[in-house]
Amino acid sequence: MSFAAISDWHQRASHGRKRRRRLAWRRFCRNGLPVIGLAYIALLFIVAIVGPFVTRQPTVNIFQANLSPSWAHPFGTGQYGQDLLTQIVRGLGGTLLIGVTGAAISVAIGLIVGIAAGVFGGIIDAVLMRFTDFAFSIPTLIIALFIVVVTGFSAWNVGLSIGLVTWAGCARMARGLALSVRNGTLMDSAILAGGSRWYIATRYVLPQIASNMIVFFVFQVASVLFQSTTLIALDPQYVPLTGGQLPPGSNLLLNLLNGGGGSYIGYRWLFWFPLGVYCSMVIALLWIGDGLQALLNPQQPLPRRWFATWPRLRTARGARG
Amino acid sequence: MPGKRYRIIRVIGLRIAVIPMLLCILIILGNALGYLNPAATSQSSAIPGLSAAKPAPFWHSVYTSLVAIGTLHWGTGPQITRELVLRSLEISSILTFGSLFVSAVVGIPCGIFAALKPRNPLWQAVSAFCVLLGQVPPADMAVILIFTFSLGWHLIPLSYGWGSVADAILPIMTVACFNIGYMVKYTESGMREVMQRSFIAAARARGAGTASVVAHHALRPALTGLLTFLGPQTPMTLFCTVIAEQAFAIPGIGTMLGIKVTTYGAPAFGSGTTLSITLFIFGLFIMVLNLLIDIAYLWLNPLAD
Amino acid sequence: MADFVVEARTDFSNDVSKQPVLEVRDLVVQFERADGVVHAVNGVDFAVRPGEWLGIIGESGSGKSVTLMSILGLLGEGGRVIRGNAWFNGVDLVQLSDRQLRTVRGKDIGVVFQNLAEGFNPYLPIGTQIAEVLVNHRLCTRRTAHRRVIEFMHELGIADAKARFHQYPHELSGGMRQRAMIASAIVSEPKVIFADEPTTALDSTVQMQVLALLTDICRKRGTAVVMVTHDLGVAAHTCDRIVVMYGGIVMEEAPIDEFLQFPTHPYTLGLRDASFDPEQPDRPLRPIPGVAPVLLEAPRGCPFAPRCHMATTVCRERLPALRQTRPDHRVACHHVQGENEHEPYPIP
Ligand SMILES: Nc1ncnc2c1ncn2[C@@H]1O[C@H](COP(=O)(O)OP(=O)(O)OP(=O)(O)O)[C@@H](O)[C@H]1O
Ligand code: SF4
Ligand SMILES: [Mg+2]
Repeated sequence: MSFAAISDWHQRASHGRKRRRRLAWRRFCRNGLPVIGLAYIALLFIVAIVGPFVTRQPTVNIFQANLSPSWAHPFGTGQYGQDLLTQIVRGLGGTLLIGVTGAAISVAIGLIVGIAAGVFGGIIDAVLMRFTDFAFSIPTLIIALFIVVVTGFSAWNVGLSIGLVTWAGCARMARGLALSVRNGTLMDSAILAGGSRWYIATRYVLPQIASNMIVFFVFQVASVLFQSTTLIALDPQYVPLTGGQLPPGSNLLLNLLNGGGGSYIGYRWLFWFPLGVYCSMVIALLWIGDGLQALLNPQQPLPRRWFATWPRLRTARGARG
Repeated sequence: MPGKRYRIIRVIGLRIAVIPMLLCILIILGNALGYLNPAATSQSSAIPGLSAAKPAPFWHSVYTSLVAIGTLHWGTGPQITRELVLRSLEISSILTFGSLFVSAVVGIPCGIFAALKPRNPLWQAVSAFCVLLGQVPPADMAVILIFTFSLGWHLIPLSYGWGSVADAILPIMTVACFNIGYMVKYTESGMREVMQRSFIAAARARGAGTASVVAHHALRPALTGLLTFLGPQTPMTLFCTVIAEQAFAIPGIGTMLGIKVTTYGAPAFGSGTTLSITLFIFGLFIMVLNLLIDIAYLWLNPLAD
Repeated sequence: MADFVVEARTDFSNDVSKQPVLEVRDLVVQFERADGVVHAVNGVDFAVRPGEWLGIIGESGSGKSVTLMSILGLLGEGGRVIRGNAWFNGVDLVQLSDRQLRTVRGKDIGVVFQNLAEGFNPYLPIGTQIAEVLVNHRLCTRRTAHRRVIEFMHELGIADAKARFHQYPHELSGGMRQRAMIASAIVSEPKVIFADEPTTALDSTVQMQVLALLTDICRKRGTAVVMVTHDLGVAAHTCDRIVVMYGGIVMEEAPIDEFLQFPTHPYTLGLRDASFDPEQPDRPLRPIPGVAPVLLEAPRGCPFAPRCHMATTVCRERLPALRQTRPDHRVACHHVQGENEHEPYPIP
């Protein structure tokens, strides 16, 4: 019976897409951490969307300034008596917006440039790749800083400016993947069948590199967030150790990060809570990225971490190598 | 091997030849962007001592930037002199290269051990901690370091400015924390990938021990993998240097150029000239770093073209 | 095509007194993978006598490479030896620690790898990697190792060995690389060589040259060889004994003449029908239906049962054991009569 079941498994594995998807999900879950990260990011998104509707703009009350965490103010209060938790909840949306817009724009530009270079080849490839090399060696954040200065400071503009300058890595990767698809036989058959370049790029190349691009997108969100913290830290209002100020009207978690720096001396919660939320968000993104990457090459065993939930086999000989 | 050496020299020569061209493009780009800046016409300037540009023909402003860069004399005022420019360049290079060196010395062994011992909780914790370090914003990292090492444990005297060796430790650590994060991550993943390739099994079949396999066979492929990821990170390393300079009040290049963004509408980058000088300096830094990475890559990898 | 090989073959079937150098008993290997446990090897028995050529044939995925690698403790991530012994020189290699095994690898057992393109480190010169065996086992100093490797490369017919020593793997042709691989396995004069499909990736002329070289050198030194191959013709011309594997177990084991004249196992018969026979060029080739399974469950019955035309209930219920059918000929099948059995296997 068992071997009949095995060959049956074989058929199902090669034919059933549903089965494959379930296997992928199982593989994703097996490592533990990516699932935790995914749940955490989902929670943050829900909070960011729902938060502004259920909280009010934190009120300024000088007599309640710099209170340590208590039941009334779980994360304590800030310099002007604003509730820090409310500030974080309301600032989360803008921060996620920066990450997602920045990553989306850079991946979109990178995909277009990379696929164009990979599919057309020849002179277009050469020109686009020299352009990408140039984009690699320009000081990206200065340009981004300039764009922010010209267009004004807001979450959209920060995301946009960072996205506009950080597409080079994506372009190089997309080109490599597109080339590997192009050198496969599937592409030859498509060309022989008379498919146009556009048809080939969208129907053959894009679906095949989409999974890699999703992984890249997740890592890119983390990277854009990091760059935006650096960008915002160049704020002239930020004076280290003496207490930064929040620009009025801007409600970003990232601003809290830098604004709280000066409050480290006496009011540590103003420093650690925003930093903790930011760091946990980025680490969760990295975990998701790692889990997705493990999905891409199923033949490779997953990296085994000590905190992963692996069933352990009792063996005659321990694992070697 | 002479053939390999010749190839390396040719490739590096080409890269070096391209650098001045790219720098000229950057200067032109900076001036062009300067014309977009609504603040460019105002009289204030971000660089103290450098007069704001008056509305002038485009090529004239490019010429002005070129002259300013060529003479290393960036202002009419007495504040910014040639010595100051050279000194701040020197300080920033020490910070950047020092932090890269420190993070390589710490991060690469950590990554290797984390990849080799996937079940050892200690090394896994070290690797996870290093990745976390790399994600802490440098401005906050500076605060944490000051409060831990200077004010908490009194290991390093707290001083601002630049002068003694002790002044360099904390800024270098700040920047190195960012670098360590991705060094550990990419060394670990590269090492894990290499250890699964079949030539490693072949080397073990010839009786090599783990130490010998890692040192002779796995290290070079893993490091070339790391180097390909290192290139795109160089701009961020530089910006972390700028932030560290700000946090520790070090008169480096970032402080001198007064790189800042403003949320109140006050101008940053007073003129196209300032912007193009900034782009020039940072572009030069990035290109030199990338050149060094290319040289290391060619030296490590016999397959490279 | 291969007179030299046929002449060189020694007849070990009479020489029962010789103790085997390597004896594998009931070896079970599993891989832990993200989508389940792969039962790659499920109880393999074979023995290699000194100077003997043992051929292992079988379909792709039948666990041939895994068997050899597990003996040396070279399984990749996730691979475990669950039980079994591999007796070599009176020690059980399966029980040894990695450090103790290291003294065996390369020095007593050499390996010629299957994957040509990946067998050598692309980042190191070929000669360094060949000399590594000698240096690792302290058989000689680095300088004498250099000299000995160059001499050895000459012997293996690598022209211009001094220049080749410093070349990188990608600068050599496939045949050259395979010769270098053979050199790295034999230069330390081991007692046994594991040759995992040493010629599969080569074209047939180079294949014959490399094979001739390997036979020549191993016969000269009396080295025993375990050769994995897909090519029945190659096996017939070089090997003294054949082991047929399927689904991680040994299906049939016999000396080569016996094997060619009286194959009995249904799987072996299927393999014979599926391959080209120069004596009957007009016979149509009949492939075995179906594909080899990925063993995600431990086999309960005969692994070949889903594809076997003789399969009955007992085949699906019980794993067949290796039984003696003729002198020195062992078969694992419920429907092949044993030596002393005069009636078919009783069906419960
Ligand atoms: N590192 C590994 N991880 C998981 N499964 C593996 C691994 N190596 C081998 N296997 C599984 O073990 C089984 C036997 O593989 P093996 O390499 O021994 O086949 P083979 O007989 O050598 O085939 P071939 O003739 O193609 O070399 C296969 O089903 C394979 O999927
Ligand atoms: S045991 Fe049964 S299924 Fe297996 S080979 Fe023999 S007849 Fe076929
Ligand atoms: Mg094999």
